[in-house]
Formats: sequence, structure tokens, C-alpha cells
Amino acid sequence: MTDAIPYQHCGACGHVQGFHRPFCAGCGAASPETKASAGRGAVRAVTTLHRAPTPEWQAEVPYTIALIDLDEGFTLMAQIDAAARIGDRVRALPAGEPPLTRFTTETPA
Amino acid sequence: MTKAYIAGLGLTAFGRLEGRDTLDLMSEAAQGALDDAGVERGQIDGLVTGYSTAMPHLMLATLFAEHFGLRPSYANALQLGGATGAALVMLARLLVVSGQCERVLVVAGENRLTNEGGRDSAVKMLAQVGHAGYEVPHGATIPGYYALLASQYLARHGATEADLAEVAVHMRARAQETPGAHLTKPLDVASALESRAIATPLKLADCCPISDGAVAFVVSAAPGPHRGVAIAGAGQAHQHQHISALQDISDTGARVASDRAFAQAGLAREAIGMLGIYDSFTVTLAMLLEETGFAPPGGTADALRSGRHAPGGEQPLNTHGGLLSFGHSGVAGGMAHIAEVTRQMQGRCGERQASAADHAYVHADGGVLSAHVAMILSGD
Repeated sequence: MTDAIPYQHCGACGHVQGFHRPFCAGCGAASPETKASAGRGAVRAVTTLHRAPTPEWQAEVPYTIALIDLDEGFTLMAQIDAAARIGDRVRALPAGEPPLTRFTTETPA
Repeated sequence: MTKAYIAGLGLTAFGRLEGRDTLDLMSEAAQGALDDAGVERGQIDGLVTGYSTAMPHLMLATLFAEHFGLRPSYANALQLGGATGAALVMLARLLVVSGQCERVLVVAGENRLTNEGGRDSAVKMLAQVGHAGYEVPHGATIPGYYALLASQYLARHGATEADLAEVAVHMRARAQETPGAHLTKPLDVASALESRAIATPLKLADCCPISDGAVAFVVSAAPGPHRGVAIAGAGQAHQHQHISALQDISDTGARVASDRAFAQAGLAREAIGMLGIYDSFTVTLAMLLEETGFAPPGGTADALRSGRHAPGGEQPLNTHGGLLSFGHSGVAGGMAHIAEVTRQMQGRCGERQASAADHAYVHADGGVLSAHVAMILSGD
């Protein structure tokens, strides 16, 4: 089970955006359609943080974040397993605590 | 056409400067620039500044004007992250060549390190350049965003953490020779690699310090008492704000900005004899040096090892030690590269004189390689 990750698709120009807006950043058309991603993609970039921005996050170090290229054509920052590497295929996990998008490496078929 | 010269420059030391606030530091640098240019307060008709994270204010330009005793006919403050300093000098050039101003004071500085809250406060605040809804909630930091770039840089080029360490070692060696530098303890590749992890693959030695300090310039239509160094061309590019929106790490906008600056200056890269490249992190320097065409893709470490960018080399680079070792005090951090290139071109660096370049290239970025300002300085 994967909680849906919403993204926007522009019917006018086909642009896909992960940051939601009431218009398409590609062509300016109003009201892009909100769609649900299947939550599958590949790791574009990954880092494990040992120095956090706040005391709350400092209690969590080390934690790993990544940029995920979703199959639908947008990029999202997410929490991920420490072992994740660039190019790994990943899938989204159900939202947990804290409610942040988390991905895990897909088990090779 | 009217030229715009860097007619005077002033710097404070960078580092831990206890008991000095934003206005104190800006004033010291501003007085230094006026003295260097040989002008009085009443001869300044333009004032441009940036921002101070230690002293946030809606009207920093006029706050400083009143404090320092200026009555300019034009004043403003602008914000472009780490690119602010270069953007200010670009704006000063526009004000002078347009005839709007005769002499513009460009000044910025702050006590970013010793301000109440210090480093922890700065780390938290700076992380806010990330997307408030999609990035900051993930516990990302500025080093984290650049680490995401670094992971891609290393993977794309087959480069190593030791390659990035070469950048840190270069900057430390330069800072050791530079009066007023923040970090001067000897650093070699091995000790850089042993420094503690911050955001993999970046370690402490890959990250610039947070410093107190200020820098100022007088930009005018006439050169000052030293060799004339004109702002021959400048260019900007802004293609994204957030790293999640950066599609290709080899096309951040740096190349576009540099091409615009070269076109305005009417010069080619071969004419450049000195470089001042923004180096908030080791990977920042590598990516900017390569995208702007001064090193081949993935070739920064080899270029440094070859001596090409050392003092006396073909294109000496960040001869003051850069943000990584001279220090980073916000807007002034990016202005220090311009100050260094200028005084090198003017032949007033004494024993550490690295080159007598006629043309130099400066590049700064703000955000996560988001806002780019490129600049070419040419000596008379």
C-alpha cells in the first residue's frame, strides 16, 4: 500500500510539476490537473545528514534524504534508507511519523 | 561609454570578531574603502547594500546611510543570497555607466558568527532557502542541499571525496598567506578526509566556516589612486530556486551568466588571467569552475594538482583563500573574491602577489546554485 503522492499535469502543454500551484509554471495555463503518482521512481541524489538544522532534527541524526525522480516525470525530496544509492529503483512507503514522504529501495525482482 | 571602476576597497578581518555588530563592521569596511579611494563621505551619491542575517532590517541601506553619515541621492538593498555581493557591484556599475550616480558605495557585512544564537541560528535560518513545503520539512540543511549536488557530481564524473578535498587544501594554503583570514591551520588531503561528516559526501573541510566580517567598495566613473580596474562586463542567470527543480547539474545557469558577462566585456575566456569563484562548499567551486568553462567536466581536482590555479600559475584562483578558508560572513563573503582580484590586479599584495593579470573573472551563486552573477574585471 502506498499513500498517493499528488502531482500536477497541465492539459494545455503537458508540463508536469511536483510543487503545486494554481497554474502551470511551464505555460501559465490555469488549473493544472492533480493526479496521483504510483510512488515509484529512481534515486537522483542522496545524502546522509550528520548535522541537523534544528534540535528536533539533531535528535534524529544520522538520517538520509534523497531526490527521487518519479516515473511520472517530477522530482521530489524524500526520506530514504541509509543504504540507498544513486540510480536505485525505489517505492514510496505509507506516510508515518513524522508525516513525511519516505521511500525504500525496491527489492530486485 | 562611461566605465565603472573599483576605485577603492576596504575589508575587515574575517573570523571571530567579538563585540562588533553589523553596523560596526560595515562602517569599518566602508571607511576603509573611502580612504582607499581617497574620497570623503560627501562625495558618495549612491549607496547599495545587501542584508544582514544578524540584523534583519527592512531598510538596511538607509539605516546604514544615517549611521555612517551619508546622504545619497540613490540607495537600496537587494537580496540574492550568496550572489548578492557580485549583484551589488553589477548594480553599482549600472548606476555609474547610466550617469545616475558618480560614486557608489557598495558595503556589506555582519557578525554572523558571534551574533546571539551564533552558528546554530545561522544554520537553521540558512536552511530556509529550501522549499518551505517540500524540502525544509525533511530536515535538510544548506550543506545537505549541496551534498545532494555533490553526490551527483561524484557519480557523474567518477570523482572521489579526495578530489573535492583538493579544493579545500588549495583554499587553506592561500588563506595561510592572507592577512585577516579566518581559517589558517594547515590542511592536507588526508586531514580533510578525516574531518567529521556533515552531510555525506561532504565533511567539515568541504564546508566554509561562518564568519564575522565586512567588505566595501567605492565604484566610480574615474579610477582611484591605484591601477584602474574596471567592471568590464557582468551577467546574471536564474533558472531555478530549489534543488528539487534543478534538472541538470551541468546546466545550473552558471554558463549562461558567464557567457553574458563575456559578451558584454567583448572578451574570451582565454584572456582571463585570474579567477575569483564562489566556494561555499568544495563542490560549489568545482561545479562553477567547470560549468563556466575554466576546467573540463570533472577536471577541477586535476587542474588544481597541476598548479594551473596556484599563485604564479596560468589562472590563479581565490588567492585570498575563498569562503572555505578566508571565511564567509554572508554578503561580504562573496565580495571578498572581488576585493582580492582587484588588489591582485593592482599589484598590491606584496609577498603573496600571484599574478599581474589584465583580466579577471569572478562568479558568485546564491541559493543552491540558483542565482548566478558573473563579472569580468579589466585593468587599465
